[in-house]
Amino acid sequence: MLEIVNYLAGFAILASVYAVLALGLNVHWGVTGLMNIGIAGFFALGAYTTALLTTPPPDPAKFEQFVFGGNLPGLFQRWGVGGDLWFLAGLAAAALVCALVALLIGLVTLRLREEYLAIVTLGIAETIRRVFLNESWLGNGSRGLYQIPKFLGNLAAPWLYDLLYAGVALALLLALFFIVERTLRSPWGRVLRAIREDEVTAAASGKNVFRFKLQAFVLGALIMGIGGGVYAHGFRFIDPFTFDPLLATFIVWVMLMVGGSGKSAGALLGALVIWGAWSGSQLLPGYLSNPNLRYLLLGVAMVLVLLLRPQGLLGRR
Amino acid sequence: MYKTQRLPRLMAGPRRSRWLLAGLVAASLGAAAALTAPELLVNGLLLGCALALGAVGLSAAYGILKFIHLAHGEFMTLGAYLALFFLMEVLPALGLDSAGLGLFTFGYALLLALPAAMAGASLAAVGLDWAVYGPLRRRSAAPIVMAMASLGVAFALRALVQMVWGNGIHQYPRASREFIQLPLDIRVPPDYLFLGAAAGIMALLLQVFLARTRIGRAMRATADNPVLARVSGINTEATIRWAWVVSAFLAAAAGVLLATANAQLRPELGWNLLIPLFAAAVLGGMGSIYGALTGALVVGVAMEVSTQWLNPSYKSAVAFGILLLCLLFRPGGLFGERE
Amino acid sequence: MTPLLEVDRLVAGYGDSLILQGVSLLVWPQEIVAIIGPNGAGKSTLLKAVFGLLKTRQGQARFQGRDISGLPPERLVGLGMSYVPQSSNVFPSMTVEENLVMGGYASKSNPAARIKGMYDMFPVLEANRRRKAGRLSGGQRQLLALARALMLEPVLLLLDEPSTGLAPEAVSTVFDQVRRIQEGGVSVVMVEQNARQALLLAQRGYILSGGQNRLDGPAADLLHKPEVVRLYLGG
Repeated sequence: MLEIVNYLAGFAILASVYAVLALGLNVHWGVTGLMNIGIAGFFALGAYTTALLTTPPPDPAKFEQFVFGGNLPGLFQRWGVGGDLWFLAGLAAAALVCALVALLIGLVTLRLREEYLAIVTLGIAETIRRVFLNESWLGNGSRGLYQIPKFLGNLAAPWLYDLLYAGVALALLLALFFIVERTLRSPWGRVLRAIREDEVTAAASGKNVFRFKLQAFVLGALIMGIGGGVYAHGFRFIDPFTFDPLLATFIVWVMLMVGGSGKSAGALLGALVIWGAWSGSQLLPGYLSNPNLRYLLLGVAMVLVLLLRPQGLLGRR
Repeated sequence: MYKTQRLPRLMAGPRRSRWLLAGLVAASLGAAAALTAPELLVNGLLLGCALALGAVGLSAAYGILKFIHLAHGEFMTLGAYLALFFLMEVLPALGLDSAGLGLFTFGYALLLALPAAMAGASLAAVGLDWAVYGPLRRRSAAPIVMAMASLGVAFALRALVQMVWGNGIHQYPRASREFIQLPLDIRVPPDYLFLGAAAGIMALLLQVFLARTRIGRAMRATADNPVLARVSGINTEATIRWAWVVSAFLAAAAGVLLATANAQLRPELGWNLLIPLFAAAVLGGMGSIYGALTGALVVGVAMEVSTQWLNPSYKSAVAFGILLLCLLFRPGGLFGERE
Repeated sequence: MTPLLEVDRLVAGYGDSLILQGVSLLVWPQEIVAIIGPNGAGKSTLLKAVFGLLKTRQGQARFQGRDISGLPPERLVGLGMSYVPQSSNVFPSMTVEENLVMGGYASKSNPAARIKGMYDMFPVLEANRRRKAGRLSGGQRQLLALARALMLEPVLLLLDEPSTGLAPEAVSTVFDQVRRIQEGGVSVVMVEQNARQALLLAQRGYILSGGQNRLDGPAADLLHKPEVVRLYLGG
């Protein structure tokens, strides 16, 4: 019984993380029309940032090679700030780092032909992964960071942590959802949609298209960074292989396209549906649970959505 | 939704100033490399030749098909695995089995497997155009939607390869051979020389194909002005199918030659080369064949020479750096349009 | 005598919007027909629809008595029709000579003789034969666009605003060429913004507005009709 509960809790945590990532991608692609295929990069940056800030300093006895461990929980305790608020500080830091990186990338590429953004984001994600893999002093290399602190770990027995954290993740997801929705319904959000519809007309009516795109790019990226932070404290272990192109970038794209790009609710629905199908297929008998078959179907799903129903489940034509 | 830009030119005729600029860049890089690490320079040139075939296919595809084909690397992978299949299964069954042709580690069986693999990849490309890219194109899908579809195709293709051949590393049949000794204490694997020669010959053939044959001219016209091409009576749909054939042909050749020279093959081969290929194509100017060749050589040398100072795992990061610099200062590349 | 081209209540447009709302037109052999009217009237759209670049919703087009509705450009070129788009009407990265070769693409026979004929007709092109088309001046480009379209010896030539962006001397050069083309036995349907000059050149004219026929008749008549002068000839 407990095993089933924990399995479902794990599923809920990952589904929430993916939903957050898809939410960020929706701001990029669904609303503004920016093709970001380096989600894994922002995901990794966010996760590693909060992990490094909150992990205790490295212990040479355990052959830990990384150099910096912020030990935020310890620091906050010393400063008398309780309630595990270090968690929010970590997430904020993750968002900030991603926002800065997105700003730099955006300044370079958003003025160019939009396909170039795709390659650049791909390269960034790949480079980030390699840096974390090779520079052991940074993130412990291929061994990864483990024992990332629990959030609200004191409130629940260890075997119930997943369930508790699933609640946290869902709550964060919903909070982000409402914030993003409000932002997108604001005048700022409407300009973004106008730019996606017809950039020339939007520019002609006096909007600084470049600045809006940059802001959207930064917003989406920091959301993805927060997703990384949520992942880190939920699964408490990250390594460079966690953030591979298939499971940290491409699957998010499929989620958004299936759910309905352009709508935040589409991002959430897509995450649930695709992650559900993905996890569910792992339980199928025999060859049907072959991971490569899953990858194949994911690719085929993307193509089919584009061919048959580009607006996804929730989108309007 | 997408901006209409001036279309990139296939076989952009290089003007004298462009040649000068390219020559300067190449010469200074070459000098730097020669001074620091002659063997790496040679390796880099040879890597550049392998990249060149892939980059030329990518650049030409962009010129005619007008979108960034993210599954191009997978055509390389597919080609390499198909050749492996022919080498290990089909040809031995027919009694053709050899390794060690002269100086090379491979035998004449490879000379049969190579065209077979190229044909197989071209078939796959035409099939994909029929099933995916064609329908989207006829719907006037934006280039970025085509790019997204190609992303899906890329993952699907790789998954297919992994389903058939597994996720691990495969070895190409080889007979161990000596290196060729060059002055300056440079040792060159003979396979790499074959790679370079093959790349050069294919590039030359492509040049002739585009300049002298009817289909080649139709491709250039379609790349230059697709509407006018139709108006002139060119069947642009058929021309585009041929463009896919050429692109896949070259990509598969690049994949096979690279896998042969490295004697090993893994499913990530193509995907890992995407960034260096794009760096080469963008540096040379998307849509320009001369450019892709030059760009590939520069990127190849840079990648190899960088291992003097950097962890070899960062080679593709070096290529990415070149791509970024190019986009910052000269997005049109050496031979492309001034953007 | 059957008309060379007959357009019968053609309805066509882009996507969901219908630009042409039932346009009719007649063209006889060896004549120049001018099509004038305000912007957005559907003049260019008419040419594109006839030449198979757009889907026609209703109506018919007949060429030499034969129904051509729905035929793609590749087929129409083989039947003896040719089209010069308004802008982007040469292959900029190909040389003048290569452009002419592309003009003759649809025929498998050697284009050398035809190219020589084009050079006789347009000496300025011969002088620039190895130049890239993108480097030519506006007027030279327009002549090249015409020559490309003539490579397969069409009997019907559709021209979309040939005077666009040209200086006045270049315009008269182009119009002279059009007259000579007509004298060589080709019918020309010419959409023009430069209404007066077009009507001076043509035998007959059609005035389109809002996707429909408004007036038509002999060009000389139209030139002198007061409404025409007032509305379309800037008088």
